[in-house]
Amino acid sequence: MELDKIRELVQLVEDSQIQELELSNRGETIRISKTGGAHVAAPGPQPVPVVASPAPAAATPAPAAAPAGNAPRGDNLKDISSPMVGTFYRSASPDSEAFVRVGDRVEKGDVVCIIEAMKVMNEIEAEVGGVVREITVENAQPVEFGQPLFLVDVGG
Amino acid sequence: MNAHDIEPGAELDLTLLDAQWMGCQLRSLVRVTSTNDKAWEWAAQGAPHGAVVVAVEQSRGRGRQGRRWISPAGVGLYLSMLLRPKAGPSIMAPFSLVVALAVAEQIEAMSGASVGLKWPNDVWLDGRKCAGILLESRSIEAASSDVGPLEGLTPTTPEVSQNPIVAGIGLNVRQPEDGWPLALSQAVSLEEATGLLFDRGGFVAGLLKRVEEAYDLFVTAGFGPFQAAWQARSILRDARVLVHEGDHRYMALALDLDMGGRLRVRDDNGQEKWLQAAEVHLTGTTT
Repeated sequence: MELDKIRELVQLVEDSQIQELELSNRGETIRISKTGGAHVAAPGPQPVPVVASPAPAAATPAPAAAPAGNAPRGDNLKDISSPMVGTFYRSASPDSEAFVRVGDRVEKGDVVCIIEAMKVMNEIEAEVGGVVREITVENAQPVEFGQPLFLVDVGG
Repeated sequence: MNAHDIEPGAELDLTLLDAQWMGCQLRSLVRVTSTNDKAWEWAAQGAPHGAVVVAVEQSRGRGRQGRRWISPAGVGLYLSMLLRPKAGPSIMAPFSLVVALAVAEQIEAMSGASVGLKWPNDVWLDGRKCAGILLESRSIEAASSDVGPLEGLTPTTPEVSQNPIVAGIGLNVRQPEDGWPLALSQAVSLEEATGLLFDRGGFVAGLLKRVEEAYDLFVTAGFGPFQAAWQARSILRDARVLVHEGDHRYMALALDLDMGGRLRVRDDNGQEKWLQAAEVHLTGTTT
């Protein structure tokens, strides 16, 4: 299947209410899933992992399919994403130290930020351990459900 | 009346306490850093669902984003409740509004005053703020300890929850002797606004019963059953407000609340939005 065609399909799934789409064409089957576990069903001469958001780890090593939006990253980079709609705070108060900075090592379970909704301050913990490579949201900005907040290098 | 395990400290008369599980263990203290801090320390030691900390003075009372909540002796009543809900934090968020409604109803029941609510959870009397509420959720490992629920007072939800919540309330009961600090020009006390003397113990007992009933309803039915009562007290209804969403600030008309406790506003371009996490200020005022 043409790469452009796959990109188109990923976009189609992303923009729709469809959770999962499976297509077979001349012995090649492609399945795009928003709920994780995306993979290409055998048989197929050239398996192509395709991922809609959020990006789960590909089951089979393969050339990057690079779909629009959530491009596959290095295997070691994992997101810590927001579990809720709210306001993102990097510290407990404007005068206190940030919970984490780029380059810091975090352990699974460490508090990395606060998300506030309706004056409930929710401490958010790292779902994975590793080195913080990027903080993808500015302090005190609104965030959506599932929005990546931190990129963590789990091999770092 | 149920048996409650009360550690007395602050001289509060809690004989009226008759909630089923809220306040099943209660620590009544004179002076604390903040009742929320004390509740979290206790939670880490395994305090049960419904454990309550009450104090009459705080040295480091706090509000949203670490803002200081001024809590001098003789002025206030500070109370934190530990909850261990099964649901996660995003589902529990509107409970923040429900606590404010319970505080408003308790003030009304004791004074007959007409109490206002400012989204999401400030309690207003006489055009000024008399109580502030701050909920915090954390993931903590509940220690197995010997301070679990007393026999016969088993909480209605499991002792260990993924995301316990501490709901803290700071209430201005009496005005400071030398008046409110300038920074608190928007503050008012219950006694100032109503001309009545408030029995703090009676207030705690009544409030715990209300919050308990409200919690039991909220966890089964959500914010919906509270929507009309909340809206009837909303001081923002049809008011011009300044909305802060991160760096984005804009003027809008505040409208109503939805079933999830979100505030609907219409900006000056006619765009409507449902707010979940913004700060909203009445025009010309800061709170």
